[in-house]
Amino acid sequence: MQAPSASVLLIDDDVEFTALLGRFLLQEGFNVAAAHEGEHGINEALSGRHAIAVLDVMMPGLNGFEVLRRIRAQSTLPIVMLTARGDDTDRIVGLEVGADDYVAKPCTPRELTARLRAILRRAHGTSTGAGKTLNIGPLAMWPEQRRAEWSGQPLQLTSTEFTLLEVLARNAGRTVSKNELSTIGLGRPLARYDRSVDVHLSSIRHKLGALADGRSCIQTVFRKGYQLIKE
Amino acid sequence: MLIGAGSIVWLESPPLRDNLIALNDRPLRMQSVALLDEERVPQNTEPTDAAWLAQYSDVGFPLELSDEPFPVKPLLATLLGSLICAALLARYLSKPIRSLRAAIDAAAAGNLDLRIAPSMARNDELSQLGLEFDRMTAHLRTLMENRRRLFHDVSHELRSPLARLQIAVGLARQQPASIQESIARVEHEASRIDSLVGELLTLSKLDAGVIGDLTEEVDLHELVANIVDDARFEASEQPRVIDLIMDSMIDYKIESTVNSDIDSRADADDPPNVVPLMVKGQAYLLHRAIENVVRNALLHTHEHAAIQVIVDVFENRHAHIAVLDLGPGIPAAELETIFLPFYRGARPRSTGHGLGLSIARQVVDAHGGSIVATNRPAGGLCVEIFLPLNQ
Repeated sequence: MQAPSASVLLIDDDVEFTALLGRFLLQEGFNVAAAHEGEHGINEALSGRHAIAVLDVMMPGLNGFEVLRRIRAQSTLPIVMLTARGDDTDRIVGLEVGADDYVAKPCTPRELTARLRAILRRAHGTSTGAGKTLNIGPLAMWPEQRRAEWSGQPLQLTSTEFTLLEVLARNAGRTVSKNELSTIGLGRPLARYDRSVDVHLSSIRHKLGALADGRSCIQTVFRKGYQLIKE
Repeated sequence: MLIGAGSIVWLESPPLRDNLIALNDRPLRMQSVALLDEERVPQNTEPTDAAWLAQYSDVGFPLELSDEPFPVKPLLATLLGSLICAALLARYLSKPIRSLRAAIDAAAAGNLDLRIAPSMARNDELSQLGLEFDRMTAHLRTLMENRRRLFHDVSHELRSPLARLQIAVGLARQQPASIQESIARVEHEASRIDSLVGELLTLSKLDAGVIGDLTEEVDLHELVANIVDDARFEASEQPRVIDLIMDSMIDYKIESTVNSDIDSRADADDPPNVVPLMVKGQAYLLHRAIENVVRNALLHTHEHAAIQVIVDVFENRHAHIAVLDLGPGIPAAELETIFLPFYRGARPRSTGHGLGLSIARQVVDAHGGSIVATNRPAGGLCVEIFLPLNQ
């Protein structure tokens, strides 16, 4: 059964850019909407009409990070940032504020589309064993509903954070390599010096509580990857 | 006790002094106070006027009461004289300061050509200041000249791929059948502009010192192994030998050709017997810097010639990375200038942007290290990087 067309929201002040990209995305089977400044972008994003947003962090006026922050305050809508090529800081900050992933601008439209599809696929759950509830210590996850709780308290996780945590949870007690986390969680192999996975994991750690002995349940295994502790 | 008229007398008895001072409501010129002859002064009398004083003091004549208590005229003359002297001295001392201020004002308005030391040629701290000022403006002039040249070079560099792009578009219109080829060309040139912009951004960030933390612990053995790995992968179309020598132990010697069976990538993932060589910095930047040097070596070395990448320790305090090629080398006069942005010298335009080595230098400098190029005795270039060890 053909999935209904996902709607992509483009938030970018470059009108010509969004027009050209919009044409490409339409041809690829998406629905497209565009907002050219911050406030409008926030309102559209929170309207619930869109499956994913592409956000340019380099917008004048209300800057991209502020828009991201305000959307995140009320929604876990998947968001992909457009960052300046070579600007590591922007990427890290964006991920910390809650973006799901980033694409460097300029990029080929194929690259961008691939990234969008990867995130959207994961936003609907990973294919392996979806449906089974996961219970590891205080952590409870319902992959089909994309819902998670810690000690009974609901967790506000972004789409990517949920996916990454799910991977760790399904492999609880075993170390998962960063490359594996990146491939399954982000839909792309780990690039050298790419700290996306690290930033996402750090953010997840903050959102989860601590175990009885004060440790975080997510352990970093030096040079190997991460592990969810199974007690 | 007798003191002559005209001398200064210390008055001991307060009432007497008061009276004297206020005699006839006119102040007495102190220098002319007479000393009363105590024996002759009748008991319980008070001095009344000048005549009384004349009678009972040693002066013997009525004292004149002067209108001017102080010798104002001489005092004023002296004061004026010393003020003039002081003013002249001040002018002499502050003249160089005024020159300096004028020069600084000129510099602030954009004129950096003013030289001040010659006009302050005295052997003191102020002329030292003048020398420092000239040194500073000379440095600023050099920086501005470098900046101007960089802008010029950047616009030239950007125009080249843009020019090719324009032609490709024209070709596509003119010969619709060639459109695929033209599009490929447009894609290629766009990608070149993209990478050039990226390099420039990196260079400008390094220049401005806004590159972020340099506090990561970086294993140079792992880093260089990765770079060599990538380089072998990229150079797979041409037969190239890249020797990687770490601490005098040859770890790899794989000839990478199109039909190579050896998967050099798999090998490098877990170099088993290599001790880490730790420095502090930013892995990504160091990777770029060393990669640029290795790429350069591959570009210039003669076909079928090997390049060597050596990693070891220099004098126990520095990590030492040497990249050696068997290319034509660099003319001795250009061994320093190759690290300037866009420097290509007399050699024909190569595929790089001309920024690789200047980025390498900026990165290495930012990490507290140094990079130097020398010609090898038997031909070819040797580029060495020194980085302080994390101890």
